[in-house]
Amino acid sequence: MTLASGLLFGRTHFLHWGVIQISLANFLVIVLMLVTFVLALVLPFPHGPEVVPEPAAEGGPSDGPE
Amino acid sequence: MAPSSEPGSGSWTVALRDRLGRTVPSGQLLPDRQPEYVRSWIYVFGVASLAAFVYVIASGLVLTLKGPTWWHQSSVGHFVNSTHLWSVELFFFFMVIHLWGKFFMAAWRGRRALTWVTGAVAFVGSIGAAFTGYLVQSNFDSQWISTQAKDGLNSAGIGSEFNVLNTGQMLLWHVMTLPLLVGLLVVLHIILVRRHGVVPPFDAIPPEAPTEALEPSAATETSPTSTENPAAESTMTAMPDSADPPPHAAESAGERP
Amino acid sequence: MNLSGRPDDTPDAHLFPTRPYDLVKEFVVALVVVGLLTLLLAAVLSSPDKKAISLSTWAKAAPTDVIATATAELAGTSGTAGYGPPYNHASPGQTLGPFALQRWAGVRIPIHSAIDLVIGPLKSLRGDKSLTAALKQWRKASLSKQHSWAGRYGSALAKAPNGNPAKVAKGDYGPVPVLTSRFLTLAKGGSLEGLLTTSSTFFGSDETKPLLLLADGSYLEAQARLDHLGGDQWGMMNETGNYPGQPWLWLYTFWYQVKPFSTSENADAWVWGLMALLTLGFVLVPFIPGVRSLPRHLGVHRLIWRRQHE
Repeated sequence: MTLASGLLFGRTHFLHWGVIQISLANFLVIVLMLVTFVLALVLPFPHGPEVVPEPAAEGGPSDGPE
Repeated sequence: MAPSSEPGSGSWTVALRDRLGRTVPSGQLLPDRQPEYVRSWIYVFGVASLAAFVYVIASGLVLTLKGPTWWHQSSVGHFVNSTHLWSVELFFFFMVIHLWGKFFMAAWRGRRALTWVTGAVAFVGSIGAAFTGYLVQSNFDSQWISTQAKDGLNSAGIGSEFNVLNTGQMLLWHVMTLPLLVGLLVVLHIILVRRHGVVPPFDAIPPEAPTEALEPSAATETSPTSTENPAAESTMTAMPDSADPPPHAAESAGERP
Repeated sequence: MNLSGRPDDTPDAHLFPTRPYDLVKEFVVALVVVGLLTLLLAAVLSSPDKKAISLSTWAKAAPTDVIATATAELAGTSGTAGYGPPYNHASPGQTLGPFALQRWAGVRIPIHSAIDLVIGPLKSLRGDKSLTAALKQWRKASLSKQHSWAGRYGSALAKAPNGNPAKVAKGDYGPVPVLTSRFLTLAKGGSLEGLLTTSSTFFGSDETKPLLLLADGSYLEAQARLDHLGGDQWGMMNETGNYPGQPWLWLYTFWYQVKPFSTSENADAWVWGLMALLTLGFVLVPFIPGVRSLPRHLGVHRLIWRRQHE
């Protein structure tokens, strides 16, 4: 059995705005997605080593035809 | 090792090998470097989607071991079913954010239209796979969803070929046909990303860019099948065993950890 | 060419400066993080499993609905009886303007609602003289007579208090009251699914007939609406209980909530057609002038590549 499956059983919760009806669960998922997206855009990405100004042309050592 | 045959020797094996070898620039199938403009958390959602997809398949595989009704009768089976459900939810969660990011980057630029197309079709295919998953749960959901969905499919004239009320048929589509199709699209999608590299920012200009790369004869936005980008061609088709090794190849080898 | 007439002069990504990056490590980290998330969510939230409604459960919970549904199957007035292709020719089906896709596909899963869903299962019962006589009377009657009996009985049931067959007004209903009463007994006994799926084959995996029968009644939908799964409740997006459902279907189900789709007999065809078109547009975004130039103008990319803009 689960630790807290009771959270998601039982009385359902819905939000209504005019023609829009959405379950609380779906609403939270969508909000979480939007928040995650915005955070992904604004949070700084950790800096790696200093950029070496070398293009990736041909990549590393050859792994070409045998 | 035996040398390869002369070009135009007529060998299908050589032709296929050469074609496959040109699919991805040398060293780019699993590169250990990436463009410095790839510096944002938005870039992790592709690999996150892929990781979730791995768990969708893995948990699905476990579910196949004991048959389609196992999860109703066993708490272990129910737990495995739960991992299948939540890995699917995470898969869609990450994939949609990945899609948003790629849209706002216009990631189809630079002859990457097919990358977008394979991703979009994989998304639509995933919806189909998830839909058939609901149909084979063998519970109330399956009863309701199948009897509702049949109306949409019948109205489009395909309800008899894809009979959502036929659980046996839907189970086979769910565990074999659609995962194979989606998996194939995911593989193609990733190969295309490796082939073209991550799309540069708008109006980015590489340092010391050869002028040939910006000639008007380069691909236009309307013509994804137009001539090769000369710059791309110089990196993708030059063979590593050519007389003049590519510039910086030795230095970049030295950079590797 | 797009609105700005701009050719795609995106330079080759391989010409840009690079830095070391461990893709394999990134993938392993993603696997670990997503794996832990999956296990945590599964352990804490589990997954919904609302039990299927067996025909026996239906018969015990809503016997008058079973009687009314069986009557409608015999009268040719049930959803399945009047559906049209792929089950029968009773209706031309939905159209999408000049496209009659449903009719063009033809009757490929032939279902005669009275025979396949009611009479067929009843014929398997033995030793019931009243039933045998009723079946014989039914078989000998013309189709219009059968429909007339069952139609009248259906109307009488609708007028009876709580649809109770014991309180139906007297009338000429032929063998229909006996047939439907025995059908209810058969359903309560638990063998009806089997008779509808495996009467002609040992290995049954096709639930078409029992599902059509169940959906012809009102009990299934009543249960679904309790969980907000109805078509006009944005049901396509929802799941039983408080679980998240399928938020990605928001646009598909949206059209069913608004006119003209919400009041159209061809709603399914129109929504399907519209979504097929929009999906095609989504897949072909790189080729659509205007749409493909939107990202540049929307400017979200400035956040992603802000280091390049600094």
